[in-house]
Amino acid sequence: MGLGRFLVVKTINAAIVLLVVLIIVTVLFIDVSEKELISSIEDYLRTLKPPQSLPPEKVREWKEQRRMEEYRRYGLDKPKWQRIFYRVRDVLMLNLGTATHMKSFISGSNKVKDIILEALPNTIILFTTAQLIDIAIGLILGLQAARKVGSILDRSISLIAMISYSLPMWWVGMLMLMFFSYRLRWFPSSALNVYEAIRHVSNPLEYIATWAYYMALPLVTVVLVTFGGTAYVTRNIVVGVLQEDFVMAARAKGIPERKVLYGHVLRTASPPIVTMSALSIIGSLGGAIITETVFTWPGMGRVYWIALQQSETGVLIGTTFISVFLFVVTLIILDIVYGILDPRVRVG
Amino acid sequence: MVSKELLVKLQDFWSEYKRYKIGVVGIVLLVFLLVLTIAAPFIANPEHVKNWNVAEYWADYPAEAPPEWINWFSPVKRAVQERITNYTIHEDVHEAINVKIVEVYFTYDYEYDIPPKDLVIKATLQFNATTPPLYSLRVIRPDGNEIRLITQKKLEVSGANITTYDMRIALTKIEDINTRLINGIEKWLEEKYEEVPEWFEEEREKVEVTMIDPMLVLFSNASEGILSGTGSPLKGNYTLALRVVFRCVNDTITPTELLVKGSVYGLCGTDGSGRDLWSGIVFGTQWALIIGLLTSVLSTFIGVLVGVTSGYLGGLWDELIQRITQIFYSMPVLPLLILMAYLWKRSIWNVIILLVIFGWSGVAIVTRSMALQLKEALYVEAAKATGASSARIIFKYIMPQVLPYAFATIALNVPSAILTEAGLSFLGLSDPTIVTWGRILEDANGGGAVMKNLWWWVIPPGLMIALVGMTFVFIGNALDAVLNPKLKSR
Repeated sequence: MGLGRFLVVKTINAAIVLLVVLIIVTVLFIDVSEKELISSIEDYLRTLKPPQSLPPEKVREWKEQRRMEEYRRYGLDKPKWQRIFYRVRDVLMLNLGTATHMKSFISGSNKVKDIILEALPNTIILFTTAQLIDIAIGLILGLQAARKVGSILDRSISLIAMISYSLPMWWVGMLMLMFFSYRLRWFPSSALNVYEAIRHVSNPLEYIATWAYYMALPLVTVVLVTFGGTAYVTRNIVVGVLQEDFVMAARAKGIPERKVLYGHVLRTASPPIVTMSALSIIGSLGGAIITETVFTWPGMGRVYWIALQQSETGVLIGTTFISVFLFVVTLIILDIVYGILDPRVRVG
Repeated sequence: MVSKELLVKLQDFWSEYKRYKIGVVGIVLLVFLLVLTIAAPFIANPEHVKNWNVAEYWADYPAEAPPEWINWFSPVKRAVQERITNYTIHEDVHEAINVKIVEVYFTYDYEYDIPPKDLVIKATLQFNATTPPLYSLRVIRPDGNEIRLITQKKLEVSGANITTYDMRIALTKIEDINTRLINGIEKWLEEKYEEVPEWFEEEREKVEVTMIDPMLVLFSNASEGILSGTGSPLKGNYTLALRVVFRCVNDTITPTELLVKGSVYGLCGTDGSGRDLWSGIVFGTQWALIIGLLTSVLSTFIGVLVGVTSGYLGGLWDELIQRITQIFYSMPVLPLLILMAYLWKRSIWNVIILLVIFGWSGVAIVTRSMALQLKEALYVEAAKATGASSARIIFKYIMPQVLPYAFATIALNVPSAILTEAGLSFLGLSDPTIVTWGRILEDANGGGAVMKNLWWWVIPPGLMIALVGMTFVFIGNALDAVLNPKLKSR
């Protein structure tokens, strides 16, 4: 099939996934969020004073009427599937509502959209930076290991990869905090203080430096746990490519080894490596929740966790939606890029 | 005949597997873990794990105590947990006035640099509730100083008959213990030097009485630093004398023990609630193995079934199943997992079910493409020609080819299952009735272990998680190398 049709199919697929997940999450949460709404309506009703003229029996009727009014206003009187439909539609239009207790850090707004928009960049900064460093280190080490298969470097990389695959990232984070933050006092223990710190900053260089200081420990943790795996997978991919005939032909032609490696091999190896990296970012965003909580990093993962503890259903639905959205969009982009680079994929 | 074939195949497999040292290391680790699981009731205390959530059970254990063996590596020795059951008892019966005076002496030999966290006297008394006894407690230090800790306290009990009373006196909880100790030391110093030394007066001024650790004062030399906590240890025999005045000759006291709450405890120390971490961690092994293996086997099994069926059947079925698989595959696991764990009952079986629900799709995708290739084989065509049903073809011809990949996958999926469950435990979403390593780490995080540098609480559970993970990664890698030869290192 042509590229155009391929793209359309992939996009439709992704949209379906997004919708299905959104519906599932809304269904799961509709009861909890409505329970809250109902109790806040009851609170409101309690403050209402009926007109003096009404006899006691009629008071109850009057209160019922007011209750029905409120229910109608929030759409609680409609059948369940309709309520779910409206909720889903709201989220799709990014009308995410307000939170009951949570507030965004800087602006203090309690609109869900603001809370998420404030936290999202933080998560992206942390994990994308970590991923870039990870890819850089992984590529270099992986290439070297692939060139000298069976060497000490190669074997150490395999070992490191296997060990770091079993390490809980958040536990390594705890160790880092315990040692570098509390014991040695080299780094701050709570990244949340960064907002306090940047208030006193005057120039952009200091701004970046302050962020970097607070980001240092979480960054090192993420890179430490992931670089081994990246290096190992790069090594495997490159080893596979090195066995291809065209490499042998290039060498036979007399092309210098460096050009063979960085010119031909790397270019062939890049699609799978890019795929792997993108999938890693996605994977780490999932684990971000726990890691961010350990470091008190003000990102989406932490927002999710706080929302869960405080039963902020609006925030939960919004965050889940955004993360699934990003996840799915990344997968589409990957598929598209892969489809462009490797036409064989479009047929599968 | 079949078994002989199988035996030969297994032998071949083993000789091939042996070549991968890392795989052998994995097997060794696995054996170690299995031994740990089986030996758990013998090398650790199952009662500890059964009572993990019962706060009163841990009253006799010191909180936040490091493991005993740190004494080997430190010049400063910390007091070890002891239960002293030897005592001397002295009875003085006065029939005429119907009074019985009993004196119980416990002796504690203190040879450490850092005192115990508490001393607890336990005894069982039997008396008539209407005529309760009076008791006093004094301590005699190695330097001869005798300090009164409790004077003539009446044992108040409700009721009107003979009651059996379990007495438990914890020194650090005695009323005004600090003041009494300070006064006792002052008096002794006065007697010895004829007047209270200046340094003592100065120190007494400076300290905040409520902030003093009574154990530190009790077990320090009566010299400079005793009140500020910088003094030197007073080593030797400490005698605790409990004096009970019974108002009826028939009343009795049966001393149980003098409990020395150590500053160190056990093989792995204790957590913030005093719980024995060694037992918790050892018994956590079986759960890690169960969760990891069960989840991995189930999700791989389902994944293979779905993938192969979908790939083989092709057509509309394939499309449908593929769509469903893709939906599951595209969902970010952890956020949704957390969501569902939050809404459902907190049980380990629910967690396993959730893990399997999110785990099978990856396997399905791969096995489907394998099936797509395999179904083109000639023998499959032949089988179809002779009228074999789809089910038979799938199970007899295609599945066996997929099995090697399946085994490697089972092994390789165990670490992520364990890590995910540990993550859920850490967030407090897993089963509260079982003790898993993730849960111990959750308590550690909540108990400020990171801040207080309680390394024996933070490091071992995580290390065990990593160990189990590594075991299966090593085995999985070796299995993969043997069963799926593709990457030949030239």
